[in-house]
Amino acid sequence: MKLPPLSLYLRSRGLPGALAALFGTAAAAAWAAQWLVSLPDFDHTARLPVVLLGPLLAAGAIGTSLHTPSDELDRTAVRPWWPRRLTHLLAPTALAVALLALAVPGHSEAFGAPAAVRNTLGLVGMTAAAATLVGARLSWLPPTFYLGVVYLAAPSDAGGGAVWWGWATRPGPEGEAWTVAALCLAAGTALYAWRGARHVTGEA
Amino acid sequence: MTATLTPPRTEPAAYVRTVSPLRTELRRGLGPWTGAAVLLTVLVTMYGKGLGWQGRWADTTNLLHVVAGLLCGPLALAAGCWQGGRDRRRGTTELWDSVSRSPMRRLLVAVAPSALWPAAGLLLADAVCALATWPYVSAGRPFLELLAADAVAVGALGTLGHLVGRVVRWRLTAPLLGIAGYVVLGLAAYREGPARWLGPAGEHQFFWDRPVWWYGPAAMAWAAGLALAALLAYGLRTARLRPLALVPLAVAVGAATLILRLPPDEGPWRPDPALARQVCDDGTPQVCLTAVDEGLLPSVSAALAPLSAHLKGVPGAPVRWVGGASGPALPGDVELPSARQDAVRNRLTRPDLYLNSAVNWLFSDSCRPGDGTGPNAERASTVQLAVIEWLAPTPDDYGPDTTAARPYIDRLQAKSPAEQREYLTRFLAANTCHPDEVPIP
Repeated sequence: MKLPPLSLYLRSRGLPGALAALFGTAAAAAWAAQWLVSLPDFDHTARLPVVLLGPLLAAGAIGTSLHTPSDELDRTAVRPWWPRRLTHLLAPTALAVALLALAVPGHSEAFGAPAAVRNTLGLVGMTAAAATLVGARLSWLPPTFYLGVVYLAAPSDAGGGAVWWGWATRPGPEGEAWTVAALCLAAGTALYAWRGARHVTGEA
Repeated sequence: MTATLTPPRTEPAAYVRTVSPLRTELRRGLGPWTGAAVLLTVLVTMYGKGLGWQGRWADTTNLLHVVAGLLCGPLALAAGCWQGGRDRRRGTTELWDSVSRSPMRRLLVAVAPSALWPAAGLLLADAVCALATWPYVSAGRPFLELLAADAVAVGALGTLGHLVGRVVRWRLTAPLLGIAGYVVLGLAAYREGPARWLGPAGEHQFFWDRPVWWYGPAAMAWAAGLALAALLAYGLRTARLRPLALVPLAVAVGAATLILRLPPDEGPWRPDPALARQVCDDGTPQVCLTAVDEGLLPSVSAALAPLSAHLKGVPGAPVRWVGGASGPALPGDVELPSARQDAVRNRLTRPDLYLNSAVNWLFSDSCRPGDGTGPNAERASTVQLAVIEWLAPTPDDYGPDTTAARPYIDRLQAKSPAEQREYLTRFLAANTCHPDEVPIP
């Protein structure tokens, strides 16, 4: 059976698995958000781990799908790669943004849909940049490390420039946090569209 | 003529320095980076927590324990998982199968960086934090056995992650395992009941307690036994010795049974009278803190000095300011607010704020429902605010609006020292829950 080129491309990048992971992440995030709020002594502000870990996992799924099994062959192609890379990165990101925004409904002033959308965009940018620098398979590591540190280190108020360096832990509407996330997305996307994922020798 | 065929002279074999595979494994690849990541995670987090922990061993070890369990544990899991999938990614699995070393030996060497590097990074970070705490502690000892148990737990999680990475072939396994580990360890830490003391992140916030002696070794046996059982079960899967894995499993189950039989609330922690002992200065009124906070005594006494000057010799004034575990025990004792949470390196960061809250505590009577009402209630609370403002002015960036109390404050300040003393005597004798008793300056 002859498959259309697009299907072959999607399959070679493992995108069906990545998309399934996105749906699974969103479902798990929706369940976790509801469960956390239902706990005694917890209110909607307890959803912070969900708006951090959900986008992180989604960014990881997108980042690892940037791996190409035929890097050197790809680079000999006549057509420019950047439009394909851009579509490959942004289409799943749009899906992840929509799914995760639906997973944490209400309370947009704290850790609701805006915070989930901002974190997804920023972390996808960080993951794309990491894919360019350390390879797609390990692209989830830098954002994971970053989140792990800021989650415990960031103060609950905005003191000490935390609104900038701890952008992922801030409530939804803060402009500074959105600026950093947008910069991460722009830089990461541009870097990936320009260079593609780094080819790591010896790793099939 | 026959040519004599002589074999070419062979040079003596040059001495080739062989490097042990373990050393190569430990020096290459993700291992050192994992150790560095663990070190950095702990140090950055501890620094971000505001350095208030420098002063009590219980604070430092508790925070290090939570950071190790909640952050380094998942990190070790994910990094171990990545390292475990290395041979498969490189396509060298079959090549490894052809070498003469036994699978178990190869597995032990391959697992070493996943287990040892995170543990080493954590121990180094522990040492740095312990050295940063040392000059400022007043009593007690660091709970080294708990820190060692944390390192063993992190190493065990790295080992388990490594084995998962060997078995499961999926690109997202490592991050997923890290996140799942974080969620499970976090849930275990916040659970009520004895099961939380099995998890490596169970928090304990009492500064006058110490753990029972066997808890550290039991926690180590539990974590290491579990990891070793999994390691042996995987490494010996084709050998007849596989049931050997039951030995460490039995040790782990035995240790877990011991831990699960602890009381659910306080777990392994028991009060330590040596840490809760009272230490007092020789001022009037006396300032008494617990032995763990002895280093704070000069700073607290200095902060309370202006108030002590006002209260000296006034009938009904406190005899002792008492802070810490025991609380007021004798007549004339007044409780002090906790000084440690407002202190960095045994100095109060805001002495003015501390003095203000001490005065607030001094004048807070425990009222019953129905108290504090009546036509004079508002005036009484304004007078109380004025007395507090007079004795310990609220810092500008804190506290209630004092405009309404200003006339009373001015009147109090204008009084002669004898009149001030007389007024304070009457004010201290009154019950602030009954507005009619509160004297007007």
